[in-house]
Order: sequence, then structure tokens, then C-alpha cells
Amino acid sequence: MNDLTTENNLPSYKINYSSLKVVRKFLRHRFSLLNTYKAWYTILIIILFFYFGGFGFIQNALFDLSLNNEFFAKYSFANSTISLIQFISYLFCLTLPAILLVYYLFNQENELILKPDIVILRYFAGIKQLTCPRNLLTAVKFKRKNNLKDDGEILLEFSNKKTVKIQLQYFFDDQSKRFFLAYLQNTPQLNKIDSSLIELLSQPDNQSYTQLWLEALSNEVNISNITNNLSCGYSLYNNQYTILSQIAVGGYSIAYLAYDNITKKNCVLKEYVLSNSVHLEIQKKVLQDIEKEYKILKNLNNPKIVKVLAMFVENSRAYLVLENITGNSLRQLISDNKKFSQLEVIDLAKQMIEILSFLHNLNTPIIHNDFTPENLILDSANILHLIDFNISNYADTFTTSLIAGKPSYTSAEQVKGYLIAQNDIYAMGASLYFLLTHQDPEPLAQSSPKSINPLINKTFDEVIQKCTNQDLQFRYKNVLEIMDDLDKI
Amino acid sequence: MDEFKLPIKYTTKTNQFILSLIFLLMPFWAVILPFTIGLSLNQIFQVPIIFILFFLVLLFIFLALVFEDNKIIMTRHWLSFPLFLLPRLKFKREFAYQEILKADIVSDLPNKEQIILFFNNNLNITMDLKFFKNIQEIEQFLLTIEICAKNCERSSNLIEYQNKILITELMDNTLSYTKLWDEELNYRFCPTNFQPLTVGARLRNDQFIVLKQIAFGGFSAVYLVTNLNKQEVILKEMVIYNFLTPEQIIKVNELFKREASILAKLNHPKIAKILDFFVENERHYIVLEKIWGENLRLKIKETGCLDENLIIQIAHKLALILDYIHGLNPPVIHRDISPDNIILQNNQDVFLIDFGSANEIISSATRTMIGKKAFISPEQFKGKANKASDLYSLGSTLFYLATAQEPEALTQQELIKFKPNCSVFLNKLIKDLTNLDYNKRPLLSAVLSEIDSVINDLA
Repeated sequence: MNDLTTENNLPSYKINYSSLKVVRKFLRHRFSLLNTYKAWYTILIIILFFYFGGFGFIQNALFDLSLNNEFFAKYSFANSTISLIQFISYLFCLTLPAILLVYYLFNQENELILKPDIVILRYFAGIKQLTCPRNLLTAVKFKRKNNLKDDGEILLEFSNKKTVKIQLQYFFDDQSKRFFLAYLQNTPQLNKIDSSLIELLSQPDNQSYTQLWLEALSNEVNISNITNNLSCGYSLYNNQYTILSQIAVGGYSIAYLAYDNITKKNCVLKEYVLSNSVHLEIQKKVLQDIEKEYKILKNLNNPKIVKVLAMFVENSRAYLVLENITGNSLRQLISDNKKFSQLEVIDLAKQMIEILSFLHNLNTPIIHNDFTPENLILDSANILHLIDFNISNYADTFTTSLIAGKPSYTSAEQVKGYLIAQNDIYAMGASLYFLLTHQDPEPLAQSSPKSINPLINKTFDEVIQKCTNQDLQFRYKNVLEIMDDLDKI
Repeated sequence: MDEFKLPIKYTTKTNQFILSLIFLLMPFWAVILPFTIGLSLNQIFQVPIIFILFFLVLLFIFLALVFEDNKIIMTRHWLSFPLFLLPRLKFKREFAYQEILKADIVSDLPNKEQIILFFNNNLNITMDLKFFKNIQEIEQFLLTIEICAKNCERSSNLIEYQNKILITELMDNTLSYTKLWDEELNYRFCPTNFQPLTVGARLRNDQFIVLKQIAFGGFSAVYLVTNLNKQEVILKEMVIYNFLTPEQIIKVNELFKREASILAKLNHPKIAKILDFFVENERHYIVLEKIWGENLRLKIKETGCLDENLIIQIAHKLALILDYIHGLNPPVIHRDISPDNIILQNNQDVFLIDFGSANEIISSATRTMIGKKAFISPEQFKGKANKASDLYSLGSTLFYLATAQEPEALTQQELIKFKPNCSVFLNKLIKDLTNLDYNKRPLLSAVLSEIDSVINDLA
């Protein structure tokens, strides 16, 4: 099928590309799936009939006619016509197999090889080859054949006046189409790709639903998926991602560190199990939630918030591909016994405020709802990053009846189902308490780090107390107020 | 990943008849064929009768091919119909999903339901439901059209029909309303961290076979299964192995075993018995007796809030059960008193199913809190459940029974604000039970005697 071989550490893609496959597909479809063999059998019979019988009969009839019929005997041109017909029929019968054989052979080894620096189209059993350097590729055009089907001709135009023509239907699966598109998109000087082609080749975001449902419908689910975790070295999405290790496990998902073979960088795969339930309605709902997280993240553009790169569904699991942030979560750092000085914590608090004010001040404000030390990563430059938008929501939507969260960081209002900015402020206060005292704060209670550690600055302690005040009236209403108070320390 | 291709069987009785006829005659025509080819060429064709037979054979092959094709094939971009339907479609076999304009279901006579698809160019096709293989395939067919045919307008009859299939497959009883269906689904099935067992899965050397998925979410799942004696029982599954370090796993295993054995010793006619517990494939299972009947949440969704007398009766019976479990040595705290865990039989018998102890173990192991927010007491939320926590949950549950609404979480409930004409007694009872400070909640014995006296007054 497709090969992701690497020569000199650069990937090259070999896509099998054959018109005979199309014929086979056509045949397999014209006759129902199980009947492929019967179809071939029938074709064989029919060919044999015509080869041995039919033309023979026609020839005979004509021969008899020419012999026995006075009409034909009179006119010699009629005779020669008959001979001509006979001749043609012989020719046809004899050359037909030859033609088929040639066609078959010459369609075998067609390949489209996409190397980092050149494009090679091999046809006629590898005898003929069309080679063009990749850096001369100027435009990619697409001529649709049929309005309703995904069929057409792709034209790759090079600046050396050569054009490579590829039939879309010869890419017989989605995998090849994706590789091809990735190859085109990673060609730096190429900026003219027909948009309808991009649509046809890529898997648009909203297709993951469809994909999942269709997969479930055709019962392709592997029963052996009962045991879960992906092991190191496992490949996903047609070898695009290779799992390196498992980094974390959360409420509904598992996070893995993975290597992206196309962009050659590390990334984080967040895996959600889509239970292969009896009903697709159920999977739909779960998938909707994941797509919501994807959409929320996709629209956020902030260096301190993790970026989502892609989303895909495979084997009844949904994956969000996130950028990898090198660093440790605050919880990890504390459990590794890192001690933060008060000044450092104040600096972290200011960064937290920056992140939260960004989220809360968007056109549609986003409440994170899980602003805890596990979800805050500190990188080597001491910049804080926020990850995990799983239970975040656009403000004003009421949540479901089940709660799952970390009690120390969940405000009472959040438990009651309200989605307000003060949920995040409460969680932030609790996180700061955690950083200062190395302990999770008491749930549903106002936290004062100074009561554990008298050395804490009084103003700072008051800030944290105000963040975690159980009464909404007395808690900060927005993060910028906290910033003002922090500046006074 | 292979391309999606879904074959759906669709064949009429006529087709099957003709096909069997052809196959019966097969010795006849299958033998002639090689025979005629084997004979030398020109001579055969001078004897017209053999030539006719040859044609006849081809005809049979052709007919066999046509009638053998009994599948509607659906791929991601198009669907195609079996050959015998072609005349009705003016010999167009393949249709892209965009061409499907409308889908409808009609039933002229009972048991004669037909699906009609309308395509552009004025083509349409009527398919009899009974020509499909089974109801699952009909569902797959309709579902694929729903997913892939974005331009298709599905009639309300069709949507209702589809929902009906879903409901009868998933629910114990047939819900008479379909608008609460979505809500029900959302409630029972939530994202999980693991792959739940599928219908038909077998456990413990085929001792248990999964019949239905009842609910799942987070770390646990509930199934209806049959055991060796062909009885239906409930199986609760908990999966947490992938969250913990090996030492933690050992500790949690111990905790589970201990909880399960404590619960297994409970012997009360109104508590669902634990029949067995085991670990398989690193998952924990508890086998529970199945109690027939509808849980109170579903019942209230169907018929609305309960009559106050009934509520007091239920409160009484629940209090008696709580009295039993709290009175054990050591006392057992239920931790999950809520309308879904209460079954009402014949409008009088009250049963408790399901304990919240598994949730408790999972919660403390993973440092996340799992529970139903409306019914959980503040101290339980903090991780320090005690006997009075069950009373809080009881109070919230009674509130729900009286108003058909979930009470606001972590709040003391005042029934009178929602139901102005409720009795003073009930209002006070609920208010006292849901006091946020567990020390201020009444003792169970006090509650029991109060309810007793009210019941005696009513009687």
C-alpha cells in the first residue's frame, strides 16, 4: 500500500496508483460484493462464448449465406464484405486476449512517488517515468469530471513547462489522499492549490462524526480494544503519529507524548474512548463534547494556552493533537519538592491572571472550570501554560447533573452548575494556596495560607482569602482586580 | 483504514423463489456449458438447437446474477441498489447522497410499512420494511442516510420511527414520550475512560453474558447480564487500573474487596443483594440482584411529582432501611441515596439498589469527586461522609419527589418556596434533613418516630 520509507532521514511517500484497480472496483460494485468471483466466472464464459462460439457462428452463417444465397453469389462485393467481416472477427478474437494482457501488465506497477525534492510518476510497468523537481511546482489545478462524484483530474504544473496529470479516483483510499495533500501543503513555494481539491483530499473537521458513526455502523470495531492503553511505538492515523509514552491520565482521557512523522515534532495526543455502545446516539454525544473542546481550543490564539493541531477518530477513539509544551505541571514540580519563593508565586499569579483575563474577556467568554495545578505547565523559560479544556464551557451554559472534579478547586457555585468567571478565580486562589503550602486546600472553605505558614505576606494572604471566599459578594469579580491588589504587595 | 462500505440485505420473496429455481436447475445448465465448449467449434453451431441451449444457459447465468444481487450498498459518498430494483429507478443504480431529497415512511396497512426515498430528476423508490433482513439493518440503513445525506429532508414519521427502534432496544419499558429520550440518553451515558463491554460479551468463563448496557460514565458501567441459570442480574463494572501506580492498585483492590464483602453480608429484603464480586481483566465487578420496576427518577419524569402521602410512605420505608444499615457494626453508610437508586414496586414497596462506596474508593484514589451534585452533602463532597450524609441525600431526594426538579446542590432546601401548598411537616422535614451542618441534622431515630406519628394520624 503506502510506504513511509525514509531515505536520508527524509520521508518519501509511495502511492499506488492504478487504473486497473478502478476496473476491479467497478466490477466489484456492479455485482454484489460476494459475487466478484462469480462475475469473473461469467465474464470468462462470455468471452469464451464469443471467442469460440459466437464469431464462429456468425462466420459460418455468413459463409453459408455467401455460398448458398443467390443474391450474394451475384454480387461479388457482397462476398468480399463477408470476407472482410470474417477477417475482422478473427482479428478481434485473436487480438482481444492480447490487448487485455497488455492492458493488465502495463497497469500493474503504477506509482506516484513523492520524495522531498522530486515528484515521480511511474507508469507502463515502471518502464516510463516522469520526473519533476518539487521546487518547480507552481500550481495545482483540478478538473472535476462529474458533479456528483469525487472524480476528476489533478494537474500538477511545473515551471519547466511539464504537467503531471493524475486521476483522483486512482487514489483509492483516504490515506493516500491525505499524504498527497500534506505533501502539497508542505511545498513552500506552492501557493495555488485549487480549493475544491483541498476539500476533496482532506478530511474536514466535521467529518470525524461521520467517520465514527460509519465505522460503528460497519462494525469495524476491534473487540480486542477492551484493554486500553497504547504502548510505546504504536502508530496512529496511518503512521503519522508514533506513541512515545503515556504522560497523564485524566477524568475522561489519557494523554500520550507522541511523535508526528510529518511535521517531525513531538506532540501530545489526548485520547478519548468512544464507547462502542449499542447506540450511535451515545457516541454522538461524547463526540460532540470532544468536538466542542476542539473548537474552543482552535479559536484561541494565545502563546500561553496550548494549541490544538488536529483532531481525528480511529478505532472508536477520538484524538486531539495538541502542541507539546516542554515542562512540568505545577503539581509535578511541587511533588518533586520544588520550593517556590513568595516572589516567584506572585509572578506565577500574575501570569495566571494574564491567562484568565484573556479567556474571560473574549467575545464569548470562556470559563475554564479546571484551573488546577495539574493543568498549568511551567516551561524552562518560567512561562506558564494552560492545558486541558475538557470541562470548560462558554459562559452561561448550565452543566449536567454529574460532577467530576477536584473538590479542593471546585467552588460551590461550580458544583451547583453555574458557569461564572468566579469559578476560575476560586480555583486560582486554591492553586496559589497549593503553591505556597504544598497542600491541597480544604474544599468548600476559604483558604488562608498564612494560617499554615506565618511567613506569608499579609496582603498576599488576604488576596488568596478573597479569591476563595465562599460568598460570591466578597469574592473578586474579575481577575484584573486581583492584579491591582498584587501590585500593592 | 479501509473505505467505509456497508452492505444491507434487501430481497423480495419473488427473487428468492426465482433464485432457488435457477439453482435447482443448475445441474442442467451447469453441465451443458462445459460440454458445449468442449465440442468442436463450427459443428456445434450448425445445429441450431445446441446454440439455443447455449443462449439459454447464458440467460440463466444472467438471471442468476440479477436475482442474486440482494444488497443495497452504502459507502460514504453514494449508495447503490440491487439490480432487480433498477427498472423502477429508470436503470440508474448509483445515487450520490446529495441526490436524496426526501425520505419518508408510510404504512398503508399495519405491518406493511414502506420507506420511500425521493431523488432529484423525479425518481423515487419504495422499499418494504419486511424485505430487510432484520430491524438492526433497517436501523443502519436509516442511520447512514441520516448521517451522510445532508440534503435529505427526513419526514417526522421517519424520525419517530427511528426513535422508536432506539427506544425499544435500549429501554426496559417502552417510554411513551420521545422528547425526554435525549435527556435520558445524556443522563445514562457519559464519556468513559475505558471501553465498556459490548452486548454479547462474556465474563468469567462464559458465566455471564451481557444483554444490555444500562449506563456508563467516568470509571464505571452498569450492564444487564444473564448468569448460568439464565437469570437476569445486574453487573457493575469499575475500571481504574490505568490511573494508579502498582502500589496504589494493590491498595485499591484491597479496598474494593473489603467494601464488596461488607456489602455482601447485608441481608435486608429491601436492599438489592450482592450476589458475587470478582476481578477480571483488571476490572472490578459486582453482581447484583435485579430488582424489577422503575426507578423513581424515571417514574417522576413520566408522571410528574408524587403525591405527598406517597412521599411520606417512601420516606418512612427508606428511613427504615437506613436504620438497618446504620445500625450495623460497623455502620454502613450508603453514600448514594438518590432517585435513581430507589425502585418503587406496585406503588408501595421501596427498594434500594446500588451503594456509593465504589464511587468513594474511586474518588479518593483519583482525587476527583464523582457524584450526583444535587444529592451530595457538603461533608461528603469534602470526602468525609458520615451517617448524617445519608440523611442529607434523603432530604434532597424527597425534595425531588415533591417537585420533580433536582434541588440546588449544597443548599438547604425549603420546599415551601417551590410548592406553596405542601404540608408544614414535609417542609420542615426536608429543611431539617438538608441542613448544611451535619451536626444540626436530626437523628434518624427522631425522623422515624416523627414520620410514624404522621402516618398514624393519616391512617
